[in-house]
Amino acid sequence: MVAVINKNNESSSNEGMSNLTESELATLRRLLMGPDYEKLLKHKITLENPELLAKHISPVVSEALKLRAKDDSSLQKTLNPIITGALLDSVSNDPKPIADALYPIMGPAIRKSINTTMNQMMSNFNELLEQSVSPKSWQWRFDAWRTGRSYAEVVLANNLVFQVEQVFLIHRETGLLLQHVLADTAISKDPDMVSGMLTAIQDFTSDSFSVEENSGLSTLKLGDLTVLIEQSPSAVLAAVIRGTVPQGMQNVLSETLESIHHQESKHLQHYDGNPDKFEHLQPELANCLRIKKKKNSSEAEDKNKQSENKSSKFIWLIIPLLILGLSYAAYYSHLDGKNWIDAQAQLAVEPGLIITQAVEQDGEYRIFGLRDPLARMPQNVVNSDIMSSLPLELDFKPYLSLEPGIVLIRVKEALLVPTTVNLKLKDEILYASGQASPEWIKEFRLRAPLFAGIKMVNLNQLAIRSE
Amino acid sequence: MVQKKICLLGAFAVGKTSLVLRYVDSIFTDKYHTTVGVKIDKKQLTVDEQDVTLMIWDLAGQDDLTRLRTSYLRGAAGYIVVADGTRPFSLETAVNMYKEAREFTGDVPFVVAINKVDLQNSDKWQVDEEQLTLLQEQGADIVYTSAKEGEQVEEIFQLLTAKMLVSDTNSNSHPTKTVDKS
Repeated sequence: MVAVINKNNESSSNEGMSNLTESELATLRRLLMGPDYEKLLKHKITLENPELLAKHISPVVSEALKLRAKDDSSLQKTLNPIITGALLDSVSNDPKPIADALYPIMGPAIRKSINTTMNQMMSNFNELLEQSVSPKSWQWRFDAWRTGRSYAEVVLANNLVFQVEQVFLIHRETGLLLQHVLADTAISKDPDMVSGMLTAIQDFTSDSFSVEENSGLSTLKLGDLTVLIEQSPSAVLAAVIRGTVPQGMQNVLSETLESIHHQESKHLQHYDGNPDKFEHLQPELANCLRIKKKKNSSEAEDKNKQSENKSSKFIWLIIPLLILGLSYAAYYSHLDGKNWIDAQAQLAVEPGLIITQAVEQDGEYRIFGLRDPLARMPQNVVNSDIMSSLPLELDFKPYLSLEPGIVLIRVKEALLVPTTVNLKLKDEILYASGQASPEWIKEFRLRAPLFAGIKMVNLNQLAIRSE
Repeated sequence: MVQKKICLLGAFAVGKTSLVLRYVDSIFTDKYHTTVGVKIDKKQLTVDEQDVTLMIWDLAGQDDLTRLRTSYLRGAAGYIVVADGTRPFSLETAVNMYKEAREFTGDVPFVVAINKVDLQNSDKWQVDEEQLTLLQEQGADIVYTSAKEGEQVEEIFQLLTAKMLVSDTNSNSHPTKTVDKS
């Protein structure tokens, strides 16, 4: 009944209101609310008009951002994807303004980066040298052999207090790996499988022992490796640490996981199996990769510094020597190569010599071939400088050469050609010119065609010498 | 690349591990090694031009005396229920296991494998058609596999992956409210 009456009252008041004009209503509002009405009306108009609202809050935006940034880092995290997106958008639309803006800082930045890389490289080289040739390294090698551990393990144990080698971000419900980061010096075996097995182990332990619902395995130990596990409702962060676990590491993991949860709680709750969505968390995870090297005391530090200085001096001494040695070896290797080619070329053009095989093996050079007995000795053909500098072995078997020069020598020697006679061999025809006795000419005509390499004898230019 | 967790369920010695071994490493061994707890393997495949990484959880075999460790099923996007075609009892176990798994995982895609089909023509082959019909009524795809000869092994994993991808597409186009299982 009461409800009916109220309804009637409401409808009658609505009817009464509809009879009033807008100006009468405004007067009524002014009477009811007094001077505050104008102010409220102004605020209402400001709130409803985006342009006025923007103008209204613009003086306080920067102050508000400043204040928020002081309180915590949530502003950076919120603005990060927006700024990244805006930059990407700007670059894809027109890269020139960004390139122009970056131009003045690119040069110094590149120089700095190269400097840092070079310093790092030298430092690594120093370390490597020290670890490979120093007496300490031999001691470590002996220790590794004695204890059956790998050399790398012994080196790490002697050099490091701890190192966070790997960090896994795992989806808690499925056990699927969302992201994984690995220290430069560490080795990882299929992080997907590790992620699955870590989850299975957690499930197994919490299933097998009566524990509170949300509690899980927090530490695993294996030799000098420790796996710290931090859990949140939707994700698990596991860090593999070699050495003594530092105090506060669990807090670092906890804070990282909280931050990840804060940023990605939606994606974590409704994970669709695509880990790419979490790729931007890599720097945050990489921040958990920490390392601390052993420093026994300040004296030890000084000693280390001294030894570092010594080893750097040693390196600066070694490097020029190394370069000199390499240059020397390269020059002589080049010279040997040139001499080897020259020797073959000189032998190849010599009449009465034929190269059948040229072998270069283990720094020794051998040339095999054939030599006419009338040809020059191969040792005399090759330049004497080459013979003295190149370990050259020459092995030539005898053969009969039909080269015109050799055939002429052979004829001259066998037929005792007088000095008044000139011989010329062309196309296997022997041309004789000059003067000779009739007996010699007769014998020459008979015997000369018998020589290999001579088919005919031409005596048209040969005159009989009167006794 | 999309990652999916799948589980293999079934009675003892039905060939769950052999199926995984054949699928992942392309090998088969006659030696029987019982699985303790769970064994995890990984396989990458492409279905309908979608690259998928399957994280395969091979669960230890169950019987009447050992209960299914449902915690291993948490987050599974699909599962394969394996039965042995030469042991009718294993099919009964598979049906019970399917019911138990469904209670825990909800309505996720699954496939039934009747393994050891290489013995189909021998006297040992005994498959209870009634049980099969029951599973089919529940929406199960039944695939006859042989880990020994590799028959239909790749196909069953492909089939399950395709079903999971379809299920993903459906849930994306018709988003449903998530049910809090706790």
